[in-house]
Amino acid sequence: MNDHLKKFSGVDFNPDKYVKEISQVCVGGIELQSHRAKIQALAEETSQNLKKNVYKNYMQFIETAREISHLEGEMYQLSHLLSEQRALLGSMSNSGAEPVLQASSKAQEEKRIAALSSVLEIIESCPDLLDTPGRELLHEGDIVELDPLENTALHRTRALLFSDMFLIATWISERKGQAKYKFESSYDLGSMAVVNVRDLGQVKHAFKLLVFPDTRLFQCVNNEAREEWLKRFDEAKKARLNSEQIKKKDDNVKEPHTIHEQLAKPPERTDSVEFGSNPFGFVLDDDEDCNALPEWLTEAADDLDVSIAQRHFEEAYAIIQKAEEYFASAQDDQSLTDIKSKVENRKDVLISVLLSELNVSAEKSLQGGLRASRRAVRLLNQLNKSTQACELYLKVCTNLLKAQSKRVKREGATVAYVKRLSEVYFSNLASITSEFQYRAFPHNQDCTSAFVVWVSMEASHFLSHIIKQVFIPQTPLGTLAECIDIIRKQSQQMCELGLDLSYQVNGQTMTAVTRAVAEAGEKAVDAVKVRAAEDPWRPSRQTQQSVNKIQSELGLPVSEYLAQDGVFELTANSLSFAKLLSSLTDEGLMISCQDLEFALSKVLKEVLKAHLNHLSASYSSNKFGSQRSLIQQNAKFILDQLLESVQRKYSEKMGHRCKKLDTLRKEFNFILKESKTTITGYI
Amino acid sequence: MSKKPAPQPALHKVIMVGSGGVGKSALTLQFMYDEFVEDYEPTKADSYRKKVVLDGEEVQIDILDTAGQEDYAAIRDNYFRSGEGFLCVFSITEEESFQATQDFREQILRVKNDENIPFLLVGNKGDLDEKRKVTLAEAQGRAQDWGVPYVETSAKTRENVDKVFFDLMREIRSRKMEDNKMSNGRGKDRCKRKKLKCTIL
Repeated sequence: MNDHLKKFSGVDFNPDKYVKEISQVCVGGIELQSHRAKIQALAEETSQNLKKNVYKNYMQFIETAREISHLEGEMYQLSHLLSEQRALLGSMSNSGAEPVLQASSKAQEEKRIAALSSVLEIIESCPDLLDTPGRELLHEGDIVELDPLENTALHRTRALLFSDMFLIATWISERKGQAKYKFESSYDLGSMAVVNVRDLGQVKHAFKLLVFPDTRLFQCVNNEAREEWLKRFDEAKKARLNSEQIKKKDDNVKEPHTIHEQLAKPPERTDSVEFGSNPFGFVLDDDEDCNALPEWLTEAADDLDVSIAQRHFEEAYAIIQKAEEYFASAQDDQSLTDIKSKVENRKDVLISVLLSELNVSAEKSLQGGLRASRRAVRLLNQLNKSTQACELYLKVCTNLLKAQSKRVKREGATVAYVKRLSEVYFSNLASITSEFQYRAFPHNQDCTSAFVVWVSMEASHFLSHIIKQVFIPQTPLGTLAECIDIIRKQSQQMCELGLDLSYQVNGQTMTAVTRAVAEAGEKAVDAVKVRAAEDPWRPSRQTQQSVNKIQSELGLPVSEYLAQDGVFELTANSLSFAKLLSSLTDEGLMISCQDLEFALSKVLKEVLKAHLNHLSASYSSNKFGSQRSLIQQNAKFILDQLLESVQRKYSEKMGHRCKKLDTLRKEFNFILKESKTTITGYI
Repeated sequence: MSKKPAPQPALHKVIMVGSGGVGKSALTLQFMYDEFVEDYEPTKADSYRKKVVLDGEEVQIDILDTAGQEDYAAIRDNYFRSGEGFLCVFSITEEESFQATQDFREQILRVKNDENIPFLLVGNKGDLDEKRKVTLAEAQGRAQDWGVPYVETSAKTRENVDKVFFDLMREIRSRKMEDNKMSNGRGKDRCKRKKLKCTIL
């Protein structure tokens, strides 16, 4: 045999040559026939091996596929985590773009920049305050500038003290609720002297600014404000002195710069006093600004405010886009940077408004469902804020699911409840999925992975809820089976959308189901034992009609057990056991999945074995000596018809026969064999 | 507003300079309010204004009492730039404060770029003659070198307090009149700029 095998499995095996060789060697038909038998045996063995291998590999294949799908889920989670990390790092690196003093922490730096940006926001044609690293806003306030000669009020100003300079902006108007100022002048802290005005006739709470060749006089609202200003000036001056002593080098660079600034600006500064009272000066300046930039751009920030307030988000986005395009093509200059930062701010506002649109709040009604969120999500996608949008969107989805599920009241039968709930749940989940995949975040891998993670979380919530509701002790297995089956079928919807939840459904219900099956098995075994104890082994009398009824009930051919005289050989116990085992098989198979095969087959075996033990005990018992043939008939029914029907059902679901039951059958076959009556062959 | 005929009397800007603790504020307060403050508290920078009658003419004096301890040279320059006349104060009981007047003088001349800037050397604390460290001759010698008057004062007794302020104001006034004569038609820098602006507007 073995050398045959070797020959056949050789690479250079040629069947024609082999046959020729054999026909040459063999003489006569007998020798050839023995050869044929040998080869046939070999073929049989091989095919059996092949079957075994296929079976083994089939299981492996299924397991591998499952592992792969599990792995896929994990990869999705991983990718979700990674993209979250990336977003985090991205936001960190964005805010760190400005050269930062190492000592100051990031939060402080952000606060500093925010303060400076808000200053830029309210002051027109303000020089870029962010260009000097480490500049901080120390103090600000509204003060009135006075004529230094006549002590009369000139104009309202906004004064801002930075760590390296003092900035004065004149008040323009209260446009759109927010005070607006126009940049007037700024002084390097080193080039100006602050003088407390102790005595100036009627003028109170004033201080002077000595900036060559000017003397500027400012009045605060009260003495505290003045003291505060003087204190702040003093602190700023000292801090600057300290820092300058530390870095003399920097000072050398800065000094010519400030001088240069002074030289460049003296006309403006010397005339600033007159400017304040003379509106023409501003008009001139404004004209210059407008010539450089298109009108829509200068109005962009205000228009954006309006659009956002009126919830015309699309318009706002269009303006932002237009402005960004313009920024990309235009050259950088002072006023443009101004507008740019304003637009950037508005963009942030828009984003936060849109995000708050998506924010889940108790008061917000979910009417309109996800469609209501479409707009915000679309815009956020366009604004490159998909990740945040996705996060919030999924929260909305969670709420939606919760709200929809709550509407399903728990009343009446468990099955009906589970059915309705899972219908509602999975159809919502499916619609969310398609909305998410095709509407909200199409072609966005990061969001998809987040979504997968979300779905699996939601599913596990749902399942744990269901398990709590359904798997209560004493619930019949049939009910459980039906519930689980409903959930499995409903979760198929997701499978059609490309998201296979069955693995999770099975996995999560596994423990509960296993326990339920085991309990049902124990109960059945108990029932069998009770009935066995009371079994009188008496045939019943049945009419053809009633037998037909039993037959249709069991789905098994029982009419052969009806004798002509109306004696029905199957006992009541056998029939009820048949019913019990059939329903247990049905329910067990319904509730079970591949992973539960072991538990189920064990339960079936236990139950069957309990009954067969009863049969064999009765058979060998002297008490029922006269009823042996009856017992044999019943055993035949159980072992052949009933067992076969169980096996048929089993292999329909599991794809193969239940080995345990087959072994059991072999074990108890002796009951049939010892009989002299006909034995149905084992198929 | 500045174009209107000024209803205010002429304004003379006086600056008190000198080391810390020599009595600049004491002199100023004595002149302003006729009071002597014993307690010493370093000044940051205070400004005062007062209407006085100078030789029968009403004028305003603007006093800038600077910080003797001002450690920021650039800021000190700013004080000096705004002054029209200087009272350079030292304490006759303190040698260092007298030496420091040299530095102040140099700094003022550098900033104002004018050798003839109205300037008075003031030796304060004249009431503490027994603790005198700087002799009259020494001080007078230095004043002579600079070509400025030397006056000894006492903020406590009010001796010569009015004198130093009024003398300085007279110097400032005569200096201004001189300037006006010299550059008649041209005017001072500041006036010139203003006028130019007016024609533009």
